[in-house]
Amino acid sequence: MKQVRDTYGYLPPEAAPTKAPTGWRIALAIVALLYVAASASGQVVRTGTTSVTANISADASITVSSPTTLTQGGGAFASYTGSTTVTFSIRTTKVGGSGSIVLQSAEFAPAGGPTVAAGNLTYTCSGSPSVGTPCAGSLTASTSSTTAVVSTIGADAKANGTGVTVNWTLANSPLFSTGSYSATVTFTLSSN
Amino acid sequence: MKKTLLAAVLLATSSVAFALSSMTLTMTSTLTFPSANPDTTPIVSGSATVTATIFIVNPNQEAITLTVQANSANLVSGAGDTIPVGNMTWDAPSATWVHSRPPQNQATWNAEQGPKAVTTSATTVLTGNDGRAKSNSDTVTGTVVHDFTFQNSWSYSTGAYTQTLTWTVTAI
Repeated sequence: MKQVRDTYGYLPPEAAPTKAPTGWRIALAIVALLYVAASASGQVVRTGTTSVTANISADASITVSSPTTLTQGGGAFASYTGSTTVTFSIRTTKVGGSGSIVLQSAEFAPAGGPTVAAGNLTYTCSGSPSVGTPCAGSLTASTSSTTAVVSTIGADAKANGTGVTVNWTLANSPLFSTGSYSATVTFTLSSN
Repeated sequence: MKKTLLAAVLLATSSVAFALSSMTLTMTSTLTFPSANPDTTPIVSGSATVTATIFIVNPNQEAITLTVQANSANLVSGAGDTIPVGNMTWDAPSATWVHSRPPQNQATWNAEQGPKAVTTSATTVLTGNDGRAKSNSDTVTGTVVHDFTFQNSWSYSTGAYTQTLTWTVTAI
Protein backbone atom coordinates (compact mmCIF):
# COMPACT_ATOMS: atom_id res chain seq x y z
CA MET A 1 0.00 0.00 0.00
CA LYS A 2 1.37 3.36 -1.02
CA GLN A 3 1.97 5.84 1.77
CA VAL A 4 1.26 9.50 1.21
CA ARG A 5 3.09 12.19 3.14
CA ASP A 6 1.52 15.53 3.80
CA THR A 7 3.95 18.37 2.78
CA TYR A 8 1.56 21.10 3.63
CA GLY A 9 1.43 22.53 0.17
CA TYR A 10 5.20 22.64 -0.45
CA LEU A 11 7.20 20.46 -2.81
CA PRO A 12 8.91 17.58 -1.10
CA PRO A 13 12.68 17.99 -0.69
CA GLU A 14 13.46 15.34 -3.31
CA ALA A 15 11.44 17.36 -5.86
CA ALA A 16 13.05 20.73 -5.09
CA PRO A 17 15.33 22.27 -7.78
CA THR A 18 18.96 21.21 -7.48
CA LYS A 19 21.73 23.71 -6.76
CA ALA A 20 24.11 24.88 -9.52
CA PRO A 21 25.98 21.90 -10.88
CA THR A 22 29.20 21.31 -9.01
CA GLY A 23 30.77 20.39 -12.39
CA TRP A 24 30.71 24.04 -13.41
CA ARG A 25 32.69 24.95 -10.37
CA ILE A 26 35.28 22.36 -11.27
CA ALA A 27 35.43 23.63 -14.82
CA LEU A 28 35.88 27.21 -13.66
CA ALA A 29 38.60 26.09 -11.31
CA ILE A 30 40.40 24.36 -14.18
CA VAL A 31 40.10 27.45 -16.34
CA ALA A 32 41.46 29.61 -13.55
CA LEU A 33 44.35 27.24 -12.96
CA LEU A 34 45.23 27.12 -16.62
CA TYR A 35 45.19 30.89 -16.87
CA VAL A 36 47.40 31.13 -13.85
CA ALA A 37 49.75 28.61 -15.44
CA ALA A 38 49.69 30.55 -18.69
CA SER A 39 50.52 33.76 -16.88
CA ALA A 40 53.37 32.15 -14.98
CA SER A 41 54.92 30.85 -18.21
CA GLY A 42 54.04 33.95 -20.26
CA GLN A 43 57.70 34.90 -20.65
CA VAL A 44 59.91 32.69 -22.74
CA VAL A 45 63.66 33.27 -22.44
CA ARG A 46 66.43 31.71 -24.48
CA THR A 47 70.17 32.41 -24.38
CA GLY A 48 73.11 31.88 -26.72
CA THR A 49 76.80 32.69 -26.59
CA THR A 50 79.53 33.96 -28.87
CA SER A 51 83.20 33.43 -28.07
CA VAL A 52 85.26 36.50 -28.91
CA THR A 53 88.98 36.50 -29.67
CA ALA A 54 91.05 39.58 -30.33
CA ASN A 55 94.48 38.79 -31.71
CA ILE A 56 97.24 41.25 -30.95
CA SER A 57 100.54 40.68 -32.69
CA ALA A 58 103.85 42.50 -32.82
CA ASP A 59 103.70 45.50 -35.11
CA ALA A 60 105.41 48.79 -35.85
CA SER A 61 105.11 52.07 -37.71
CA ILE A 62 107.78 54.60 -38.60
CA THR A 63 107.74 58.09 -40.03
CA VAL A 64 110.88 59.90 -41.16
CA SER A 65 111.04 63.60 -41.85
CA SER A 66 112.09 64.13 -45.42
CA PRO A 67 113.90 65.63 -47.15
CA THR A 68 116.78 66.55 -44.90
CA THR A 69 118.91 69.34 -46.26
CA LEU A 70 122.45 69.59 -45.00
CA THR A 71 123.83 73.06 -44.70
CA GLN A 72 127.42 74.19 -44.50
CA GLY A 73 128.70 75.48 -41.23
CA GLY A 74 130.82 78.57 -40.91
CA GLY A 75 134.36 78.61 -42.25
CA ALA A 76 136.08 77.35 -45.32
CA PHE A 77 135.38 73.75 -46.09
CA ALA A 78 133.35 73.37 -42.96
CA SER A 79 131.20 70.25 -42.80
CA TYR A 80 127.56 70.16 -43.75
CA THR A 81 125.06 69.33 -41.00
CA GLY A 82 121.38 68.64 -40.66
CA SER A 83 118.88 66.53 -38.71
CA THR A 84 116.30 63.92 -39.50
CA THR A 85 113.44 63.24 -37.11
CA VAL A 86 112.38 59.63 -36.76
CA THR A 87 108.99 59.00 -35.14
CA PHE A 88 107.88 55.47 -34.43
CA SER A 89 105.30 53.29 -32.73
CA ILE A 90 105.93 49.72 -31.77
CA ARG A 91 104.77 46.73 -29.81
CA THR A 92 106.93 43.66 -29.47
CA THR A 93 106.01 40.13 -28.55
CA LYS A 94 105.30 39.75 -24.88
CA VAL A 95 107.77 36.94 -24.37
CA GLY A 96 111.01 36.88 -26.34
CA GLY A 97 110.16 39.86 -28.50
CA SER A 98 112.50 42.62 -29.57
CA GLY A 99 112.80 45.57 -31.89
CA SER A 100 115.25 48.00 -33.43
CA ILE A 101 115.75 50.82 -35.90
CA VAL A 102 118.67 50.77 -38.30
CA LEU A 103 119.64 52.83 -41.32
CA GLN A 104 121.47 52.22 -44.55
CA SER A 105 122.46 54.82 -47.08
CA ALA A 106 122.65 54.72 -50.82
CA GLU A 107 125.57 56.48 -52.49
CA PHE A 108 125.50 60.19 -53.21
CA ALA A 109 124.76 61.21 -56.71
CA PRO A 110 126.01 62.55 -58.97
CA ALA A 111 129.60 61.47 -58.75
CA GLY A 112 132.32 63.97 -58.10
CA GLY A 113 131.21 64.96 -54.65
CA PRO A 114 131.10 63.35 -51.20
CA THR A 115 130.68 59.60 -50.98
CA VAL A 116 129.24 57.36 -48.34
CA ALA A 117 131.74 54.72 -49.27
CA ALA A 118 134.57 57.03 -48.27
CA GLY A 119 133.04 57.53 -44.83
CA ASN A 120 132.03 61.11 -45.53
CA LEU A 121 128.59 60.68 -43.92
CA THR A 122 128.45 60.26 -40.17
CA TYR A 123 125.70 60.73 -37.61
CA THR A 124 124.82 60.84 -33.96
CA CYS A 125 121.51 60.14 -32.24
CA SER A 126 119.68 62.36 -29.76
CA GLY A 127 116.40 62.25 -27.96
CA SER A 128 114.85 59.89 -25.45
CA PRO A 129 112.53 57.40 -27.03
CA SER A 130 110.21 55.69 -24.56
CA VAL A 131 111.55 52.33 -25.62
CA GLY A 132 114.99 51.22 -26.71
CA THR A 133 118.34 52.98 -26.62
CA PRO A 134 119.45 55.62 -29.14
CA CYS A 135 122.79 55.09 -30.80
CA ALA A 136 125.77 56.34 -28.83
CA GLY A 137 128.69 58.31 -30.22
CA SER A 138 129.32 59.04 -33.86
CA LEU A 139 128.57 56.31 -36.37
CA THR A 140 129.56 56.17 -40.00
CA ALA A 141 126.79 55.43 -42.47
CA SER A 142 127.35 52.61 -44.91
CA THR A 143 125.99 51.54 -48.27
CA SER A 144 126.76 47.89 -47.64
CA SER A 145 125.41 47.31 -44.16
CA THR A 146 122.98 48.73 -41.67
CA THR A 147 123.98 50.77 -38.68
CA ALA A 148 122.11 51.32 -35.46
CA VAL A 149 119.71 54.14 -34.67
CA VAL A 150 117.70 52.65 -31.80
CA SER A 151 118.59 49.30 -30.34
CA THR A 152 117.66 47.04 -27.41
CA ILE A 153 113.93 47.42 -27.72
CA GLY A 154 112.96 44.54 -25.50
CA ALA A 155 110.07 42.15 -25.12
CA ASP A 156 106.57 43.48 -24.47
CA ALA A 157 107.67 46.96 -25.50
CA LYS A 158 104.83 49.33 -26.29
CA ALA A 159 105.25 52.83 -27.63
CA ASN A 160 103.06 55.21 -29.57
CA GLY A 161 104.62 58.09 -31.41
CA THR A 162 107.94 58.16 -29.65
CA GLY A 163 111.02 59.34 -31.47
CA VAL A 164 114.72 59.92 -31.99
CA THR A 165 116.70 62.49 -33.93
CA VAL A 166 119.53 61.62 -36.28
CA ASN A 167 122.09 64.41 -36.54
CA TRP A 168 124.07 64.22 -39.78
CA THR A 169 127.52 65.43 -40.58
CA LEU A 170 128.76 65.36 -44.15
CA ALA A 171 132.45 65.99 -44.65
CA ASN A 172 133.53 68.78 -46.95
CA SER A 173 136.58 68.82 -49.12
CA PRO A 174 138.20 71.11 -51.67
CA LEU A 175 138.37 68.06 -53.88
CA PHE A 176 134.59 67.89 -54.28
CA SER A 177 133.20 69.34 -57.46
CA THR A 178 130.66 72.03 -56.94
CA GLY A 179 127.06 71.00 -57.25
CA SER A 180 124.11 69.54 -55.37
CA TYR A 181 124.43 65.98 -54.20
CA SER A 182 121.81 63.74 -52.72
CA ALA A 183 121.58 60.28 -51.22
CA THR A 184 118.67 58.23 -49.97
CA VAL A 185 118.89 56.87 -46.48
CA THR A 186 116.54 54.04 -45.59
CA PHE A 187 115.42 53.57 -42.00
CA THR A 188 114.15 50.18 -41.03
CA LEU A 189 112.09 49.55 -37.91
CA SER A 190 111.65 45.95 -36.97
CA SER A 191 109.43 44.39 -34.35
CA ASN A 192 108.96 40.79 -33.47
CA MET B 1 26.85 17.85 -17.62
CA LYS B 2 29.83 16.04 -19.08
CA LYS B 3 29.48 17.95 -22.34
CA THR B 4 29.55 21.32 -20.63
CA LEU B 5 32.61 20.32 -18.59
CA LEU B 6 34.45 19.25 -21.71
CA ALA B 7 33.56 22.48 -23.47
CA ALA B 8 34.89 24.50 -20.57
CA VAL B 9 38.15 22.62 -20.49
CA LEU B 10 38.60 22.93 -24.23
CA LEU B 11 37.96 26.65 -23.99
CA ALA B 12 40.64 26.93 -21.36
CA THR B 13 43.26 24.94 -23.24
CA SER B 14 42.69 26.87 -26.42
CA SER B 15 43.32 30.07 -24.55
CA VAL B 16 46.72 28.81 -23.39
CA ALA B 17 47.59 27.64 -26.89
CA PHE B 18 47.42 31.27 -28.07
CA ALA B 19 50.97 31.77 -26.75
CA LEU B 20 53.95 30.76 -28.91
CA SER B 21 54.62 27.03 -28.92
CA SER B 22 58.41 27.16 -28.84
CA MET B 23 61.34 29.47 -29.38
CA THR B 24 65.02 28.84 -30.02
CA LEU B 25 68.00 31.19 -30.29
CA THR B 26 71.03 30.27 -32.36
CA MET B 27 74.11 32.51 -32.35
CA THR B 28 77.23 32.67 -34.47
CA SER B 29 79.57 30.82 -32.16
CA THR B 30 82.80 32.74 -32.71
CA LEU B 31 83.89 36.29 -33.40
CA THR B 32 87.51 37.11 -34.23
CA PHE B 33 89.32 40.39 -34.51
CA PRO B 34 92.50 40.03 -36.58
CA SER B 35 95.67 41.74 -35.50
CA ALA B 36 96.25 45.06 -37.20
CA ASN B 37 98.53 48.06 -37.07
CA PRO B 38 96.90 50.70 -34.86
CA ASP B 39 98.17 53.51 -37.10
CA THR B 40 96.67 52.15 -40.27
CA THR B 41 93.69 50.39 -38.64
CA PRO B 42 92.69 52.18 -35.46
CA ILE B 43 89.30 50.44 -35.54
CA VAL B 44 89.39 46.73 -36.32
CA SER B 45 86.32 45.11 -37.79
CA GLY B 46 85.31 41.61 -36.82
CA SER B 47 86.36 38.99 -39.33
CA ALA B 48 82.68 38.16 -39.91
CA THR B 49 79.26 39.28 -38.82
CA VAL B 50 77.53 37.74 -35.81
CA THR B 51 74.04 36.51 -36.57
CA ALA B 52 71.26 35.86 -34.10
CA THR B 53 68.61 33.51 -35.43
CA ILE B 54 65.36 33.41 -33.48
CA PHE B 55 63.03 30.58 -34.48
CA ILE B 56 59.46 30.69 -33.14
CA VAL B 57 56.71 28.15 -33.67
CA ASN B 58 53.19 29.52 -33.56
CA PRO B 59 53.99 33.17 -32.88
CA ASN B 60 51.18 35.12 -31.31
CA GLN B 61 52.09 38.77 -31.10
CA GLU B 62 54.77 38.32 -28.44
CA ALA B 63 56.98 41.26 -27.66
CA ILE B 64 60.54 40.21 -28.52
CA THR B 65 63.66 41.66 -26.94
CA LEU B 66 67.23 40.71 -27.83
CA THR B 67 70.02 41.72 -25.45
CA VAL B 68 73.76 41.22 -25.31
CA GLN B 69 76.29 41.38 -22.51
CA ALA B 70 79.83 40.32 -21.83
CA ASN B 71 80.32 37.67 -19.20
CA SER B 72 83.03 39.72 -17.47
CA ALA B 73 84.69 43.11 -17.68
CA ASN B 74 87.74 42.30 -19.77
CA LEU B 75 89.07 40.40 -22.71
CA VAL B 76 91.83 38.34 -21.16
CA SER B 77 94.96 36.92 -22.78
CA GLY B 78 96.62 33.67 -21.91
CA ALA B 79 99.28 35.64 -20.07
CA GLY B 80 96.66 37.41 -18.02
CA ASP B 81 96.76 40.77 -19.77
CA THR B 82 93.41 42.50 -20.08
CA ILE B 83 91.53 44.77 -22.44
CA PRO B 84 88.24 46.24 -21.21
CA VAL B 85 85.23 44.91 -23.11
CA GLY B 86 84.14 48.49 -23.67
CA ASN B 87 86.71 48.59 -26.46
CA MET B 88 84.30 46.48 -28.46
CA THR B 89 81.18 47.92 -30.03
CA TRP B 90 78.23 46.23 -31.66
CA ASP B 91 75.78 47.43 -34.24
CA ALA B 92 72.80 45.68 -35.76
CA PRO B 93 72.42 47.08 -39.26
CA SER B 94 70.17 44.32 -40.51
CA ALA B 95 67.16 42.59 -38.97
CA THR B 96 64.47 40.61 -40.71
CA TRP B 97 61.51 38.36 -39.97
CA VAL B 98 60.50 35.59 -42.34
CA HIS B 99 57.20 33.77 -41.84
CA SER B 100 56.79 30.17 -42.99
CA ARG B 101 53.63 31.27 -44.73
CA PRO B 102 51.65 34.50 -44.86
CA PRO B 103 50.73 35.29 -41.26
CA GLN B 104 47.67 36.79 -39.73
CA ASN B 105 49.88 39.65 -38.56
CA GLN B 106 53.34 40.39 -39.90
CA ALA B 107 56.25 40.37 -37.43
CA THR B 108 58.14 43.62 -37.06
CA TRP B 109 61.41 44.93 -35.68
CA ASN B 110 61.75 48.33 -34.10
CA ALA B 111 64.65 50.68 -34.68
CA GLU B 112 67.96 49.21 -33.63
CA GLN B 113 69.73 50.55 -30.57
CA GLY B 114 73.36 50.52 -31.74
CA PRO B 115 76.12 51.23 -32.19
CA LYS B 116 77.01 50.79 -28.55
CA ALA B 117 79.95 49.64 -26.51
CA VAL B 118 79.84 46.16 -25.04
CA THR B 119 79.22 46.08 -21.31
CA THR B 120 78.67 43.50 -18.62
CA SER B 121 75.08 44.65 -18.28
CA ALA B 122 72.41 43.33 -20.59
CA THR B 123 71.99 45.92 -23.32
CA THR B 124 69.00 45.88 -25.60
CA VAL B 125 70.02 45.31 -29.19
CA LEU B 126 66.60 45.25 -30.71
CA THR B 127 62.94 44.93 -29.85
CA GLY B 128 60.08 43.80 -32.00
CA ASN B 129 56.98 41.70 -32.33
CA ASP B 130 56.84 38.20 -33.73
CA GLY B 131 53.50 38.63 -35.46
CA ARG B 132 50.61 36.17 -35.37
CA ALA B 133 50.46 32.87 -37.16
CA LYS B 134 47.42 31.50 -38.87
CA SER B 135 47.93 28.01 -37.50
CA ASN B 136 49.81 26.37 -34.66
CA SER B 137 52.36 24.86 -37.00
CA ASP B 138 53.36 28.11 -38.64
CA THR B 139 56.76 29.54 -37.79
CA VAL B 140 58.59 32.80 -38.00
CA THR B 141 62.35 33.24 -38.14
CA GLY B 142 63.98 36.42 -36.96
CA THR B 143 67.49 37.17 -38.13
CA VAL B 144 69.58 39.95 -36.63
CA VAL B 145 72.99 40.61 -38.13
CA HIS B 146 75.58 42.31 -35.95
CA ASP B 147 78.75 44.11 -36.89
CA PHE B 148 81.44 44.31 -34.23
CA THR B 149 84.43 46.61 -34.01
CA PHE B 150 87.43 46.67 -31.76
CA GLN B 151 89.40 49.71 -30.66
CA ASN B 152 93.03 49.06 -31.57
CA SER B 153 95.91 50.43 -29.54
CA TRP B 154 99.67 50.34 -29.30
CA SER B 155 99.26 49.92 -25.57
CA TYR B 156 98.05 46.34 -25.82
CA SER B 157 100.47 43.56 -25.08
CA THR B 158 100.60 40.88 -27.71
CA GLY B 159 98.43 37.82 -27.24
CA ALA B 160 95.07 36.27 -28.00
CA TYR B 161 92.44 37.92 -25.83
CA THR B 162 89.17 36.13 -25.25
CA GLN B 163 85.77 36.80 -23.76
CA THR B 164 82.27 35.38 -24.08
CA LEU B 165 79.19 37.31 -25.06
CA THR B 166 75.83 36.11 -23.84
CA TRP B 167 72.79 36.87 -25.89
CA THR B 168 69.27 36.66 -24.48
CA VAL B 169 66.02 36.72 -26.38
CA THR B 170 62.84 37.20 -24.41
CA ALA B 171 59.27 36.74 -25.66
CA ILE B 172 56.45 38.10 -23.58
